[in-house]
Amino acid sequence: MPIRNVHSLAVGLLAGFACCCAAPALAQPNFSAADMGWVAVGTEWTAVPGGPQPVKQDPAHRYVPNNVGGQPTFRIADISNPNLTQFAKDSLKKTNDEVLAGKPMWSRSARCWATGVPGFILTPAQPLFFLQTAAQVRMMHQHDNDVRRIYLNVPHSTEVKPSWYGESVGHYEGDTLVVDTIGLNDRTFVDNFRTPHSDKLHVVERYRLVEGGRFLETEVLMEDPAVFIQPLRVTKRSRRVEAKLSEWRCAAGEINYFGYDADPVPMAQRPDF
Amino acid sequence: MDDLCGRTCSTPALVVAFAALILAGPAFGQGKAPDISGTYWATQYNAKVQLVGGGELPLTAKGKEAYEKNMAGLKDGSITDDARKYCTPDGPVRNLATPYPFEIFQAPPGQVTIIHELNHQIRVVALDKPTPKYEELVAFPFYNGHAFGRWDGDTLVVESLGFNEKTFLDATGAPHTDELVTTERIRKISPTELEIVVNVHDPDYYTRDWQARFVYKQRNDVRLEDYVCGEPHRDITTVAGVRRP
Repeated sequence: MPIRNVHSLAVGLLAGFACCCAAPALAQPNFSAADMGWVAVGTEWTAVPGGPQPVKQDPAHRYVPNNVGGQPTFRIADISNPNLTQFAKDSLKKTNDEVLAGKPMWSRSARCWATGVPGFILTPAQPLFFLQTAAQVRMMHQHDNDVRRIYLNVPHSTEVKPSWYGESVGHYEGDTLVVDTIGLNDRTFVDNFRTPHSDKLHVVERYRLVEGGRFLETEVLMEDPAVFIQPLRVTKRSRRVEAKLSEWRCAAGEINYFGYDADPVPMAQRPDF
Repeated sequence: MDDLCGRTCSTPALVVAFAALILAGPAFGQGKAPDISGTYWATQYNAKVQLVGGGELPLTAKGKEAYEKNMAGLKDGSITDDARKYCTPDGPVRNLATPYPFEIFQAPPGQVTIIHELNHQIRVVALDKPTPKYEELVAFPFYNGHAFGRWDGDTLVVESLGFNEKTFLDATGAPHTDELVTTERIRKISPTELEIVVNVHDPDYYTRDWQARFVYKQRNDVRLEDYVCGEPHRDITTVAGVRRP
């Protein structure tokens, strides 16, 4: 027993050391270590109680994800969601119709496209890594080694050219990293149902550690009058894993197994230089 | 808390680890290391790698055969330049010739992270870890290899190995084997300039080790941009030697 107690004490001290970087209670959070990453739990958003719901599976169609037994299916969005504009419903219906007609609707990340914001944090299976300095944060996804750049304590640029990950500025509020993103192009989706967005999408993400640092919780606010009647507030948890960021490349050639009519992968028709 | 330790972890080991963390204090991680962090951008691009001291690549007979095969294949299209067509990582030496900006972060602690705009390559350099043997990495080959670094005065010395054989050392198709070992010496040569000298050790293809030198301007005013294959990207024609098709 004494040994067990010493062991617990040592574990406590070590945990205390890990947390003392965050002491007092609401000091700047540390999401970053050479051997620590975060893996998204599930591939859908969780609604914030009392607010509008994110897009869910149409109850008329059963969704079978990979690795649960049975033939996997592709998602069919429930377009009766009352928070969607007609533009969003029309876009989702087109996707639903394609799935029902047999088109393989693998996720955009599976087809090696940049996932955008906030889709980046829904990318499944592989860990997300942080790098934090006084002035900047990098979010590096192992999936395709995609990178988001966050500039701390600076305003947005007056003119932002739309891009895949937009322009992100951030600051810390106590134990929370707040990231504000604009300037996103309209070629990504805000979820894995392929809910679209316009280039007016404004995303505010609030990242903090919960459950003693075992999970990273992100609250995401999406404002885009072209898609959502009311701003949508959702959350996503990611589990801490011991991992080192690996080189990982999605497309090392044209991927089109079995000749499916799948989305193309990014490719240059002629060399950049 | 079990995930902090697990069954293999003994109490003394934990106490020692904890003590080491405390004793290491500010020297742990980037504390006293020279500062090479920043955004860097080359001012010169060469499709063909330029050797320190000049001259041609010291190819072995096997190396010459491989180079000729690469050059012919790239010309007639039977070999694809995946780094340009599918935007896979450029691989050793060629990644140093990038005409796009890149960033060096001395973070997280125990690591130097190099992030390239071109092909969103991330190179993770593990600091002060023993370099594994080729046999330990051969089952996990990476385009850019596995990188291990240590400080030698003002210079970060990065040894890389565990490469796949899908890349060329330059845009003309200079070959390498999967037994290649590169050693990069990375240092600031002025407040606004970074130098990387890489040593190439690949005895199967080269009769002797050879070196190439790259100099970059510090450009902390530049923000890296998203790079998605086949899209229009930033203007790099200001970099001497760049030709866009």
